Amino acid sequence: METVILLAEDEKKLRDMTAQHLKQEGYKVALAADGLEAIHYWQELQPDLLVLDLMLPGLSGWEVLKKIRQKHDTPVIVLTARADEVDKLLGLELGADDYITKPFSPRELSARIKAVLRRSRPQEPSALISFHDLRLDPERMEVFIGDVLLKLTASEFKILMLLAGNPGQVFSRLYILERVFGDMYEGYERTIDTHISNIRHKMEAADNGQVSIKTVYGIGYKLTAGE
Amino acid sequence: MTKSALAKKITAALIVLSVLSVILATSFMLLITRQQFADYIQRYDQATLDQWLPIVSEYYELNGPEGLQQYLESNMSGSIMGNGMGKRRGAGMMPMRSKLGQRVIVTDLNGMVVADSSGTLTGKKADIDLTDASSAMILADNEQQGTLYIVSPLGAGLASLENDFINKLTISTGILALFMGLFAFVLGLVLGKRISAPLEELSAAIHLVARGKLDKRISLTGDQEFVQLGHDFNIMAQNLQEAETYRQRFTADLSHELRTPLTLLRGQLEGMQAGSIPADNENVTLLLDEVIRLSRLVKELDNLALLENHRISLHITTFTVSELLDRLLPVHLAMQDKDIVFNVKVGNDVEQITADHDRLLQILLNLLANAGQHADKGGKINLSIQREQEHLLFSIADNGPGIQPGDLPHIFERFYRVDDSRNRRDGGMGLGLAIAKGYVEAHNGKIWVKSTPGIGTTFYFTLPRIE
Repeated sequence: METVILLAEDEKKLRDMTAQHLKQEGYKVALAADGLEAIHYWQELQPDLLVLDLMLPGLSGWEVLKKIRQKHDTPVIVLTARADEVDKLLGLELGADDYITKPFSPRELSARIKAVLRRSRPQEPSALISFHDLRLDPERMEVFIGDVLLKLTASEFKILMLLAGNPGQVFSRLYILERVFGDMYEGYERTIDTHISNIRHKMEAADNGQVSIKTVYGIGYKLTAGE
Repeated sequence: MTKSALAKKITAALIVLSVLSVILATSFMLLITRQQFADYIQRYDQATLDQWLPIVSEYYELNGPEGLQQYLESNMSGSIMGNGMGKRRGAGMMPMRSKLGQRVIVTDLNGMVVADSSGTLTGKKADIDLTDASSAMILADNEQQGTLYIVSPLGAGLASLENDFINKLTISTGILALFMGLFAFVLGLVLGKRISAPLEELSAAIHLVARGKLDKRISLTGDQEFVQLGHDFNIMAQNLQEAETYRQRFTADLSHELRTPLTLLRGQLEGMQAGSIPADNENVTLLLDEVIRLSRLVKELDNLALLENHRISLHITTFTVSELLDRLLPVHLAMQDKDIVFNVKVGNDVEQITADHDRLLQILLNLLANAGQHADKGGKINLSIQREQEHLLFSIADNGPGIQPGDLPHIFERFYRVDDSRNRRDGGMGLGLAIAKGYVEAHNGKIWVKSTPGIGTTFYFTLPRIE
């Protein structure tokens, strides 16, 4: 069954770009350019999740959220440009399931979509991430190489998740830091090196040379196989 | 003309006030005078009446109207020839000497005059107005026989005297009012000038400031209120000027911050377009880093704007110190990496903290990042958390090169950098301390810094106890 995501965003470029990313992730994406359209498509398509910009013309995102919540608890992830709105959202007065502030990373948006969908459909088994003989279970935070369970800390697990989710992709320290620790640790990019080195040690202890984290000089790290 | 409107109004008000007060005072005096005169006349007539009544009554009873007429005529003529008669006719009766100009009239019950000291009305109906005259009933055997009237010329005389007095008073009042008016006019001009001159100066100064000439200050002279007003104006203008300077510098700093990453992005992207730079994974990752920095800058500016508008709301929770310190792991790692000795000292009585967890962590991270940037290899950084009476005292000390006294007052300003040549990549964007200060103050805490060049720098901040 395809997962349908309704994306309500008034800026066309941003809407198209985000939609592109979500399609890449395998979702079916419906687009709405304003609040009324959002309500209309929501009723018509009954999407699995709504990504809702707060500042929509016509009917604002707040009102859309209110109307939807009166009828149904469709998961909603709110896009907001203003940090001061986060407080209201956090109180979940309006029942948003999560929020993400602009400027945002589309990759992070899809990670949050996955998390929210998993919460809303608990019966569904969480998708395992695997790359060669490396397997990660996001639900239980467990990592296996072959049959060997690696004992990773929460931060190490998140870093490996990020790398394994996009094998071969280079991630900069700044990017990893932001995604794993949040954006408050500015200036501590180098600490990623320590975590990476710890993960490497634990992976090597599992005694398998198939998968390894490779340093890309001057840029960052990537997960590779072979060699 | 608006220029002298105030002075005119003051002058007019003074004139009206003084003339009005003169008129009011005079009217009051007139009223009192009239009352006093009337009162005096009435008492005088009453006294005369009291003297005449027994004599006239007795005469009337003994001698009838004719005898009374004779008596009155003889007595009222002003001579003293009635003496004998008095002795002859009325035993033990003192002859009455009328007071000058008084007229005595006696009427019977029908209002017919039976006796008149001036003789003219005897036997006729009293056709002069007797209502104003003092009167008393003449009684015999407890029955009214007639009425005694005393017509006092003093009343009329006094009345004319009164009129005379009133006239003079009115004239002098007019003259006085005129003089008072003149005096008020002069006083109004002087006073108006005194009030309007500093106001005009202030108004001109405000006009200049409103048009952007923010360095305008006014001299502090004149009355206390004007000195105070001028003082406040000067402070306001000063603040405006500082805010304007700050804004201009902020805008310049901001565009400077944006310029570098945008130039980099543009250069790389154009290179990729032209094919001189491969659009591969690695190069895109580098571009992404620039974008992350820009995003971060935007978020921090957003936070600062919220802080400066006091629109930030804290999520106060209670958490353990150890949980907070666990979050400083990246700091420990970064310090190890730079060979900096990082010590954390927590007071024994500090176990739990009630604050906005993420914001407190951000304060600590910003201050520690700042310390880490300024500590040299092999340096030392100490974080201490102690409980004081009403608050928690945090201190972050480094043994770096210290801050020059001239830089200290600006250290918490946005984009302020002690060393402008410092690499912006290493030095952050210069917002960390400003944000730390904002978060501390959002907690109603205080933040300050002490520094000795060559010895080191210590940042302190307090968080008040929250119940």
